[in-house]
Amino acid sequence: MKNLKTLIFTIILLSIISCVQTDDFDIPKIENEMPNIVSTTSIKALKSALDQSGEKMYTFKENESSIIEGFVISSDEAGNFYKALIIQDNFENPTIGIEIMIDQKALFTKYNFGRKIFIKLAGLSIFNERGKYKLGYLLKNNMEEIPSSKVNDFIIRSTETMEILPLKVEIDDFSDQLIGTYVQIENIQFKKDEIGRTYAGEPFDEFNGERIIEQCSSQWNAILSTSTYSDFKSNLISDKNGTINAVLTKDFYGEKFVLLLNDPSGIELLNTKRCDPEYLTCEGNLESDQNIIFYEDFDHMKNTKDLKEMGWLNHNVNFGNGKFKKRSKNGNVYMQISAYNSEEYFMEVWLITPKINLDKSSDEILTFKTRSSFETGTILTAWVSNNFDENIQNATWIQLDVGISKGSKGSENTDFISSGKVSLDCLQGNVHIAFKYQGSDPNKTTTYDIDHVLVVGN
Amino acid sequence: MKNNFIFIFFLIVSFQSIKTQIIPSIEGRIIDDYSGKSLVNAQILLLKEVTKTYSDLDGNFKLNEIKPGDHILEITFFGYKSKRFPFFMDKSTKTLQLGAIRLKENHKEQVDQSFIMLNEEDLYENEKSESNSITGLLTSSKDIFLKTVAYEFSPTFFKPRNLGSEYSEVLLNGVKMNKLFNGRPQWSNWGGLNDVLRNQEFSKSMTHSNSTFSGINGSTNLLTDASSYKKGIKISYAASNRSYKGRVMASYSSGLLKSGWYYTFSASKRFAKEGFREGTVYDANSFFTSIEKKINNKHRLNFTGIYASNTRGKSSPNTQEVYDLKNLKYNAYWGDQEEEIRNSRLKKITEPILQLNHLWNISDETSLQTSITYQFGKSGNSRLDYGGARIIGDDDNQTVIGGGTNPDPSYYQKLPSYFLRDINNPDYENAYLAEQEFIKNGQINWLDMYQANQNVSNKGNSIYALYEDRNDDKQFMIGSILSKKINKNFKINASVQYQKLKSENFASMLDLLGGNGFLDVDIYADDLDEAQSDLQNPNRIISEGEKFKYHFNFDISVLNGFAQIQYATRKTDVFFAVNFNNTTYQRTGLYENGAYPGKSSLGKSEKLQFPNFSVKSGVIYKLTGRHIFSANAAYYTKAPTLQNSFSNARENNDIVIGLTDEKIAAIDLSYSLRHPKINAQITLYGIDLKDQTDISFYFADGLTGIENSQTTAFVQEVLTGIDKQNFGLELGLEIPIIAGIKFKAVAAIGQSVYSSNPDLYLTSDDFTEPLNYGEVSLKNYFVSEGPQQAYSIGFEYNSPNYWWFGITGNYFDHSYINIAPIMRTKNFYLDNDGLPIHDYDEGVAKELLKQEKFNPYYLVNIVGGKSWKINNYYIGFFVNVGNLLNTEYKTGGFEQSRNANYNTLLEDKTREKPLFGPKYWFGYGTSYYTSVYFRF
Repeated sequence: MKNLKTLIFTIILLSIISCVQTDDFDIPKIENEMPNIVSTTSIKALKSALDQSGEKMYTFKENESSIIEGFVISSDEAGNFYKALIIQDNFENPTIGIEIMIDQKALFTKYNFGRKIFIKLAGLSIFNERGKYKLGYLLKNNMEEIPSSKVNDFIIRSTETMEILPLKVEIDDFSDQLIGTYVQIENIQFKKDEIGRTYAGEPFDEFNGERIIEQCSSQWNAILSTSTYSDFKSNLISDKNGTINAVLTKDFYGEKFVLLLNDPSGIELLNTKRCDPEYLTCEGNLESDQNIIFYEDFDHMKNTKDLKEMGWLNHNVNFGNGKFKKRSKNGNVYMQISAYNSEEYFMEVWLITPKINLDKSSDEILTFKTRSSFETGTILTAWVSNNFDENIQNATWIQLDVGISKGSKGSENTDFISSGKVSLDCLQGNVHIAFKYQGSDPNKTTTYDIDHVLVVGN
Repeated sequence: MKNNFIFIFFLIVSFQSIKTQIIPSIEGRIIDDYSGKSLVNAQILLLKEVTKTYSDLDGNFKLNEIKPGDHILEITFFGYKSKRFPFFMDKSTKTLQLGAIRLKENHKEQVDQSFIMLNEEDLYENEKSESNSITGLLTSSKDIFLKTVAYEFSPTFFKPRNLGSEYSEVLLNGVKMNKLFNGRPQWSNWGGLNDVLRNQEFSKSMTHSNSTFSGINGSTNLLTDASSYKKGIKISYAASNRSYKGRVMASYSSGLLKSGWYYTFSASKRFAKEGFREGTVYDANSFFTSIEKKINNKHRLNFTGIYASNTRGKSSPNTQEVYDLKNLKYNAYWGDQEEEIRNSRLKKITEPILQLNHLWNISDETSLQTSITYQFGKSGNSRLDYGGARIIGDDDNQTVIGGGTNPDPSYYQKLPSYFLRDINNPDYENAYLAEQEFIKNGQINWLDMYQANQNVSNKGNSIYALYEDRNDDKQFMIGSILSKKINKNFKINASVQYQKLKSENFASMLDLLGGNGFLDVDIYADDLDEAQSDLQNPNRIISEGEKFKYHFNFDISVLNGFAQIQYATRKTDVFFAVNFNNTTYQRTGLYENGAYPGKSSLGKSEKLQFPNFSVKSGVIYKLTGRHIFSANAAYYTKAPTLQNSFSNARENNDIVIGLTDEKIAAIDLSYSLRHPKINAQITLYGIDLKDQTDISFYFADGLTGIENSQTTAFVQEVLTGIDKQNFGLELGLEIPIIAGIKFKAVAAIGQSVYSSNPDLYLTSDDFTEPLNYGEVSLKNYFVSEGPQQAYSIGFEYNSPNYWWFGITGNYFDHSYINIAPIMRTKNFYLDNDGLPIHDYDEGVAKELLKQEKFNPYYLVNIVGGKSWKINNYYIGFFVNVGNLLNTEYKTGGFEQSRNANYNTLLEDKTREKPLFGPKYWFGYGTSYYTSVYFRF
C-alpha cells in the first residue's frame, strides 16, 4: 500500500507541474488608449491645395508630416462598398469628404461607421477623379489601393466613435462640394417604374443597379446606386415615401451624382402616401388614328427663329440663353436642348406647341419622339394646358404620363423613342402641349432631341 | 503472447495429472534468476516443431507430444534474455522434467513504442485525405519486417501493402474497436498507456486470429487482464521534440492478492506547448484500470476502464510557395494570443471505454469469453468561422449583412502569387509587400478578430467565432468468443458480436471571441430561407456552448458472426474461416436545412442495410523446422463505411447513388528460413479491391453544366466504383554477425494503382440536381498511400553489460501525390455549352494531368539505451534520434480541386507561382525521443 501511495502522490505532483494551455483563453485586454496623434491639416485644405496646383494627382513626400482626420461614413458590411472607405470632416454638419482606397475587405470590422480616424499622408497620393477626390497608394504610376500590409502605417484609429448626424439636403442642393458626405433627404420615393424591381438584381444591372429617387419638393431626381454584390441587391423596391440616409458621391464614370446606401436600413419608407405627379388621366380609345389634328416634324424649318412663325413658344423661364435649338442630321430636323456648358445652374426651358383645337374630334391621342444623349438623368417632362395664353405661370398645367428617352451615358444616341400614346379625349377647346426641360450646369445636362409631335383623333 | 483461452487452456492442462498422458512430454518451471519468483506467460517454443506454450501463474509449463530425438527448446520472456536448451527425448521417457529454468533479466527495456509517431498523421488535417496510421499496430510484432515498418518506416506515411488502417482491426480483449464512421481505429482512445497495453496478440495480414476474422491487413488484440501484469511499480519520463515535449507515466500492478483479486492502474500525461511543428499544442491525460477477480478455476471476471483525453493542435498542409517562404515547421493554424500559442484547429477526443469480461473455462477443451463494452464521449475538431452576420430590416425585407475576411494567413489572396496572377501584368510591388508581410506576420491574428467582434458596428453579433465539429458517440457492444479443441488436430473458434452505435453530430460554438452571439445562417445563400440551418427555428442567435449549423444522428447496428476451424499436424497447419456481417445505417435529421426543406433533411433517412459474407483460408507447411512455407487467400465483401454512405450528411438525408459493398480478393505466399546463422522471410502478395466509394468536399472553380452559367460552387464529390490493385514483395533478413552484433535488412517493394475508371457526380446546395460527370480516367494512376517502395538496412549491438545501440539507413521511393478526380472527368475539357473547350490541346492536357511523384529520400535513424539494476530497482534510459541527417522530404500531398477545367488549370500552371498549387505534408527534420524509467 505504501507503493500505491507513492504512485498516487507522484501522479498528482506531475500533473500539477505540467499544465498546457490549449483552449481556455480569456478575452484579451483590448487597448483603448487614445492614440497620441493630432491632425495638422484638413480634408478641405488638401483638396484645395490639389486644385490650386492644377495637377490631377499629388504624392505626399515620405518626410511630410501632414495628418488629416475624419469620420467614417461608409460601411462595407452589406457589401455595397468594396475596398473603399469614405470619411468626412465632421460627424455633424460635414462640409467635405474624401474616399480612401484600401486593399482590404470587411473594413467595417475595424473602421466602423462613425469612427474617427487619422491619416498620415506621407507616402500616399491624392487624386481628383472627375470631381471625386481619392486617397490611395501610387504603384508604378498607377493610383492603387493602399496595400493591406501598409494600412496600419497610414491609418490610425481614434477610440472615438461618434453618431453621424446626416446633413439634411434637397436633391437640388447636390454639388461637387458635397461629394463624400453623409446626407439625408426627406420626403423621397422611388420613381413609379422602379416599384417592384430589386435594388440591383435585374438582368440589365451590370456592376451596379441604378434606381431613380424622386423628392416631392423638388423637380429633380436622384439616383440610388447599389452594387450587384451587395447583400440587399435582391431586396424589392418599396412604393412608399420617406427618408434616405446615404453617402453622396458620383458614379464610376464621374458623370452624375449617386447615392450609396451602407445598408438597406438607410432608407426608411413608411409613409403610404406617395407624391406622384398628377398625370392627365383620360380614358379614351387609343386605337383611333383616322385624322391628323396636329403634326409637326420641324423638317421645313430653316432656323430656330422659325418656331415663332409656326406658333411655338421657346422660353427660358430665367431668361437665360439656354433654349431649344433647331438641329438636323441626315436631312431630319428636330429640336434639341442641353444645359451642358450653359453655365446656368437653374435652367428651366419650355417648348410649347401652338394651340390645338379638340372640339371637332374625339378620342384624340398624342405621341411624340425623344432622343437623349450624354445622359445625366431624366430632366424632360411633358405637360398639357387648356387655358394657356402667353404666360406660362398663369396657366394650369397637367403633367402627361409619357416615356422619355434614356440615352447613352457618353456618346450620342441614334434612335428616337416614342412617348407612347397619351389620350387627350377628356380635354376640350384649345390646348397646348409643353415640353419642360430642367437642367443644371454642370450636373444635370442631358441632351434631348424632340421630333414628330402628333395629335390624331376621330 | 497468445490469447487468454489458450493460456487458460494450458493452465488447466498443467494442473492435470500426468497419469493420463501416454505420449512423451516435457515440463519445467520458469523463474527469475535473481529473485526466484515464477515468471508468468513466458513463451516456450520447440524450435524444430514450431509448437509452443506459455508458462502458467506459477511459472510451470508443459509441452506434450514430443517426438523422440534431438530438440531445442527456446524460452523467451518479455524483458528477459532468451534461453535455448538442447535436449534429447528418449523413447521410453514419458515426461522429461527440466526443473527450474532461471532466466536473467535483460535490463534493456523493450523499445518504448511511444517513440513512434503514431499520432503524427492525425495532426494534419484536410477534408479530402485525413490520413491514417497503421504502423502503430505493428510494434508488438516479433517479425523483423513488421518491426522495421513500425520503427523505421512510420514517419513516412508508409503503409504495409499500401493499405490504410481501415484494413486492419484493433481489438480490446477480443472486441473490435475500429470506428464505424471510417473503419479506422482511433489511437487517441488509449494513447499514452503504453505500459499497460503491451500485451498484444498480433496476427499478421492474412493469417488467422483466434478471436476475430481480421481485416485484410491483420489484427491486434490488446489484452488487459489484470492477472497478466507483472507486480510492481514503474515510473517513466520521456522527452521529445515530436508530437509532445514530455510524458510522465506511472503504473502499478498488485499481483495476486490473497482475496483472489488483481489490480492494475496506470496514468500518464503528455504535453507540449508546441511539438516539432509550430503551434501544435499537445495535452493528453490517460488513466487505466484493470481489476480481475479469480472466482474459481472455471470463472474469472475482469473489468477494464480506460479514460484517455487528448487535445492536440493540428498543423496545416502547405503549398510549395508557403514552404519556400517559411520552412517545414510552418503551421498556418495558430497565432499568438497574449503571448500564448493559440491553435485554431484543435482536435479533442475523450471517449472512455468500460469493459467487463467474463472468462469461462467450460472444460479443458472449451472456453468462452463474454464481453460487454460501453464506449461514450465526444470528439471535436475546432475551426474558425468568419461568416458572422446580423439581420436588418422588417419582416418583408430582411437582409443578412456582415461577414469578415478569411483569417487564414496562408489564404491564397494574401500570398505573393496572388499579385502575380496576371501573367501579362504582374504586380511585383504588391507581391513583394505580401511576401514581407507573410514572412513577418504569417500567423493567425486573434486580437484583430476580438477587435472586430467588439466593434459596435455589428451590434454584438460576432463576425469571427471559434466552433467545433462535434461527434458524440454512445456505443454498446456485446459478444462472446468460443474456443474449442475438438481433438489433438482440430480446434474451432467462433464468435458472435452485436454492436449498436448512436452518433450525434453537430457544430458547437466554442468561443464568440468577445462577441455576444452568432447568427446561425449561411451568409453565402441566395435568400434568407435557403440560408437557414434549421427552418424550424430560423434566424437564431446562438451563444457559446450551443449547437448550430447542422445537427443529426446516425444510428448504426452491426451483427457479426465468425467461425473458424484450425487443423494442425506436425508438418501442416491449415485454417478456414468464414464471417457473416449485417450492417445497418440510418440518419435522422434534427435540423430542417434551408437548402433541403422538408423530409429531405429533417427526420429519418432511408435505412441502409448491408449483409456481407467473407471467407479466408491459409496453410503453413513446415518442410523442416527451418524451412516454412505458407499461403493465404481471402475474399471479403465489406459494407461501405458510414462516412461514404451519405453524400452530404451534414445537410440532408441523401444516400450515395449507386452505393454498394466493397469487394476484396487477396492472396499471399511466403517462405521463412529459420537458421541460427540467418533468419529470413520473403512474401509475395496481391490484393484486388473493388467498388470502393469516396466522398470529398471542396470549393470548385470551372464547373460546367450548372444553371445560370455559374461556374463555381462548394460541392460534395462522390466517387463510386473505385477499383485498386496492390501487389508486391516483402523481404526481411536478420544475420547475427559476431557476439551481440546483428545485421538487419528489410525491403517492401510494392505497387498500388487504380484499376478502374470510377463514376463521379457532384452535389451542392448551389444546384438542384446532382451533376453527373460520368467516368473519371483514374486507371493506372498511382494510389497515394505513402512510399510504395521502402528499404532499410541496419546494425544492432547488444552488450552483455546492459547497453545497446542500433543504426539504420532507410530509403523511400515511389510516393505519389493524391490526384483530384474532377480534373480527370469530361468537365475538364468541355466548355459550358457541352462542346470541347476551343483551344483544348490533348498533349498539353496530358502534361498538366501528370501525377506528381515525390523525390526519393534517405533517412538515418539511431537508437540506443542502457539499464542498471540496483538492489531491487531497475533504472534505464533510451534514446532515439530520427532523421539524423535532417533530410527534408514530402510525406504526402494532394492536388487542390479548385482548378476544375483545362483553362483554369493551364492558366494556373503557366503562372510562375500557381495560386492553387498542390498542398504538401512534410516529414520531420532531425528529431529525438528519449526516456528514462524507474521500476521497483
